[in-house]
Amino acid sequence: MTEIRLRNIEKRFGDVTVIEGLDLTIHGREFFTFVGPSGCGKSTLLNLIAGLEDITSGEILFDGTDVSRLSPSERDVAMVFQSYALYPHMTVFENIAFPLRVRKRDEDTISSEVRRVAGLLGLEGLLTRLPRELSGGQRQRVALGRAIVRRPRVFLMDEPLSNLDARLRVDMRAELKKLHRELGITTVYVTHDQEEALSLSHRVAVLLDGRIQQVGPPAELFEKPATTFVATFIGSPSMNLLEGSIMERRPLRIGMDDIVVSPTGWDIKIQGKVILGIRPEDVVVSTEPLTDGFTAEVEVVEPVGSTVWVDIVRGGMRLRARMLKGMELEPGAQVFFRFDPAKFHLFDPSTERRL
Amino acid sequence: MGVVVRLFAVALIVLYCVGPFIWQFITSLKPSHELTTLPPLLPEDPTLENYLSVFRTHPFGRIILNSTIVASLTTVLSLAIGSLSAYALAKLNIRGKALFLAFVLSVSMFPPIATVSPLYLIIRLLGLRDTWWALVMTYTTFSLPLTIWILTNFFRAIPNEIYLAALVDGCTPFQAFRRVLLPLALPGISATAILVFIFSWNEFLFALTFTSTVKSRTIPVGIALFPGIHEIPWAEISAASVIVTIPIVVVVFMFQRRIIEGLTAGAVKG
Repeated sequence: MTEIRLRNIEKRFGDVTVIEGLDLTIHGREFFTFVGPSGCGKSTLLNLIAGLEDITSGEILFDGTDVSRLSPSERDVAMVFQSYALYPHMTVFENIAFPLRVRKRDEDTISSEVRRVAGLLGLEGLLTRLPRELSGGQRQRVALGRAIVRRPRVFLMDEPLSNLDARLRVDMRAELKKLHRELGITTVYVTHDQEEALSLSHRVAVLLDGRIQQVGPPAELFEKPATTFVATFIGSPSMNLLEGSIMERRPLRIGMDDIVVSPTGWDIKIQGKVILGIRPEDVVVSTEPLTDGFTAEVEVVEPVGSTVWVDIVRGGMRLRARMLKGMELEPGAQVFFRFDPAKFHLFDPSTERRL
Repeated sequence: MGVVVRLFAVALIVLYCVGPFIWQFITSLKPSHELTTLPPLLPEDPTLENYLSVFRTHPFGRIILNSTIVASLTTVLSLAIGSLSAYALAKLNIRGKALFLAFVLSVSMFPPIATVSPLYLIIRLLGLRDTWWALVMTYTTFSLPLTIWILTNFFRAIPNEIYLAALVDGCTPFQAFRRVLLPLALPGISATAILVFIFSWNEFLFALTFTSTVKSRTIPVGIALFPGIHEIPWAEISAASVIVTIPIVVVVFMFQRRIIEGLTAGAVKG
């Protein structure tokens, strides 16, 4: 239930500023994710919330109380690490029991709590094993068990799924979601995988160079990216970014190379250059001529099962698009493509922010 | 062919290492009239007389006791201080760690002979002359740099996330040390224990300077004082040497399993 407030957080290592003037509120019971490329400061941020690193300035509040100077155990947080960080010399039982033993709970409580958590995570048969005798997925569960056994105020996870193979990762994702619903503990999650972030979280913060680019529910990040970085980082394959110049503002007409497009639903103030973003799934490619379509040449064809992506080139313009079902294309083929005029995203080239 | 050459080479190395010890063992079994004659290589008339006489003509039991206590106390003290320092240097946020480690190392650079006189004065001042503590303190001082360096590396090799996990799970830094890091560093601690024990067991210079009676005299000095005015009792010296080598062998075998475990631990850790 704990609400976490970060107030004007700053973190420096020597001369290097990792996190700069960060303000954020994470609501009680929320599943909140920090996502960003490596080196964006997301893990540092998690360590700051955990109390494993000291903030250089600012305040961290749990339910309105300043915890900035408290140790991790005083903050009552639990954390799952990327490497799981199980205690190699202890059995699964002892690993899960450890937080309770440190808190000097009596033996009966420890035993029943460990068994409850083991039941929840399907670890009943493994309690006497050592970590080195477990598979990656099982170790992951033990690490989760150790974190939830004492019902912490806040649950922190640092890329917990990144060491698992692709399939297990998707399974664990669903399990984490279920677990969060059952326990209702405020969870802060860190990942570099945008898909993981979108699929797990109530809200996501996109970080770049220690600054928040955008915070919002997954759908909002996807549909209304605030910056060109968020636009290209969220969604797979990445959004196409094209340069254009405004020819007319009402109705809006934007020229790119030798073609003109008319994005709908925009009322913009600026003049001159503009960045147009459009997702590959909003560009349609066909072998037949299309109304309001243009010609292009196929460069790369990339089938991924449910869809086929094609990279197409027209003059100096290069973009990725979705191919209609049932089409057969070879590189070098001549095709027609068309933008969905309602699906454009416009950005100011000087600030790279959404218009 | 290659196998034969290799076996021969191994045999040669083993002979080189064990040879002197075997020679000493043979000597220790010889009655005095056979000592200085060759042949026979092996004693024609083997005897345990030398072993008995070590204890009968010298207070050798007491001397072994002194050495055992001094070496054990030194080992325990060195490991207690050394492991705590090494833990702090490896895992805690302390300024100037590198400087501290360099300083520790520089302590061990002093040739012992250069420190004998000042240390003697200090020990006299403390009234510790001819006591176990004079040796225990000196040996601990000289073994700590090695202990700290070895153990710092062992603690560093333990993944930092395991230490952080212990903190998040509610440990104080000391609890994290005692319950998580210490058990994981046990192989390194065993290896260090052997080195420190052997160092204290063998040390001669300080033992000679700081002890004056059988109350605190240790083995190397004790054996060195065997020779009388007119004769050097080679057979007794050999017997005594064989006796005092045995505890070392026992200690090494005791810790050997742990050391091997330590060397292979990295291979199976996931």
